[in-house]
Amino acid sequence: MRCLAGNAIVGLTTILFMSSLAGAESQPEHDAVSGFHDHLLEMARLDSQIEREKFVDAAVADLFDVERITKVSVGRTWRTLDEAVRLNLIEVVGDLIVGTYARRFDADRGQKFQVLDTERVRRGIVVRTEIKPKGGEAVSLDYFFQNGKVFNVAADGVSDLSLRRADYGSVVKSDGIEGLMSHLESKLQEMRAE
Amino acid sequence: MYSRQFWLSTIAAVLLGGCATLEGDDFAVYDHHESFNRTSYDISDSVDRNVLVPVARGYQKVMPDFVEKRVSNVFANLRTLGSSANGFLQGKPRAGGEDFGRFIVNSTIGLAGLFDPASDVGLRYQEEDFGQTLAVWGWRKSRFVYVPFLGPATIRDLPSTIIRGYIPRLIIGSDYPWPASVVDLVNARAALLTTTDVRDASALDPYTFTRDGYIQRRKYLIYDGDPPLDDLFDEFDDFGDEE
Repeated sequence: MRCLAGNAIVGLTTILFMSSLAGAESQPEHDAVSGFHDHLLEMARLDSQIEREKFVDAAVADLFDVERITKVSVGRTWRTLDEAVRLNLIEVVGDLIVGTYARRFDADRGQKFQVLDTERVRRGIVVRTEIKPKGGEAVSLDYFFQNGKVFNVAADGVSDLSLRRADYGSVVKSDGIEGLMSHLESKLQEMRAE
Repeated sequence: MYSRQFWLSTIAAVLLGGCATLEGDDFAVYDHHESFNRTSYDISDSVDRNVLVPVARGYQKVMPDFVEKRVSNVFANLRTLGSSANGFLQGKPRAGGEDFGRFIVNSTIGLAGLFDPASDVGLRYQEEDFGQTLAVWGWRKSRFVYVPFLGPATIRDLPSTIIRGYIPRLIIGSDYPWPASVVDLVNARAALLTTTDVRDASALDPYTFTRDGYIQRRKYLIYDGDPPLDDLFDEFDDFGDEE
C-alpha cells in the first residue's frame, strides 16, 4: 500500500515537473507576442505615421525574422542575387512590415488583443491570439515561430508569408528583381504619404 | 446569337474540366485560365471601384452603426439555414443543429433576425456552404475562377458563389422585394471594405493577392478554422537555410 502511494507521489511529481517544463518552454514566445501587442496599442496613441514607425521599429526587428521573410517572399531568384541587392531587399521589406503595422494601428479604436494559447508542433511553435475590434467580430492571429523568431502570421487562416510570396513572385516574373524593388519602394512611399 | 447547343457544350466543358485530375497538393492554387481570370478581375474591379465602393462608403457613412448591424443580422440570419443544411450534409449534426437553433432563436426572439440573442446563449454561426460540403466529400483540388462581378471562386465553389445572392429570395419566396437585394449587395460590400483596404495598402499585384487570399481562406473554412498547422511550416521549406 505504501509502495503504491509512493509510486503515485513520484508519478504526480513527474507529471507536474514535466508540465512546468512544457510551460516554461513556450513562455518566451507567449511573452514576446503579448509584449508586441502591448507595444502596438501604445503605438496607436501616436499621431503621425513616422512617429509610429520609429516607435515600433525595434519591436518588429526583435520579434520577426525579416531576413527569412524576405528570402521566402523573393523565392528562388534569391539565390541569384548579390549581397548588396539582398541587403537592400531585407531593409525595404523590414520597413514595409513596420510601415504596415504603423498604418493599421493608427488610432486607439478600443481594439483588444488576447493571447489564447501556445502550441508546439512538429516544426516549431504557434502562438494563437485574437484581436477583437470594438463592437466587431474577433479575428484570429496565429504567430509562427522557428528558431525563436516569427516568420509568418496568419489572420483567420490567411498566411501573410504565403500572400507575400505569391505577390512578390508575380512581380518578379513580370518585371524582374529591379521591378520588385521599385514596386516595394513606391508602396512604402504611398504608405508614408497618406 | 449563340445556340442552346453552344451553351450546353460550354457548361459541360467547364464542369468536366473542373472534374479533371489536377496534379499537386490539396487546396493549392490551380490557376489554369489566368489570362481570362485577370481580364475578369480587371473589369469587375473597375466597376467595383467606380460604382460599388463609393456607394458602400456612403452607406457606411450615413447609416448609424446600430442600423447597419441590424441589416447585416437580417441577411445573415436568412443565410444560416443554408449553412445549417450544409453542416448536416458534411456529417456534422452538431454544427447543423447549432445553425438551425440560431435560425429559430434569432427569427423569433430576435425579431426576424434583427437581433442576435442566439450568440448570447452560445449558438455560433458555423459558416458552412455547398463548396465546403463538396470539399469535405473529397473534392480538394479545384481550378480557380474569377467570376465577373461575383468575385473569386473555384469550380467547386461556383454553385454556392452564384446561389449566395439568391438565398434570401429562395427562403422568403416571391414576396421578397427586389430593393432588398440591392441593400443586401451594398451591405455585403460595406462589410468587405476593410479587407479590400488592406489589399490596396499591401498588394503589389492585387489579382494574385485576391486569388491566393481566397484559396487560403477557403481552406481555413473547410477545416472549420483549424487547418493542419504543420502545413504552414512545410510550405516554406524550399527556401529554408540551404544555399
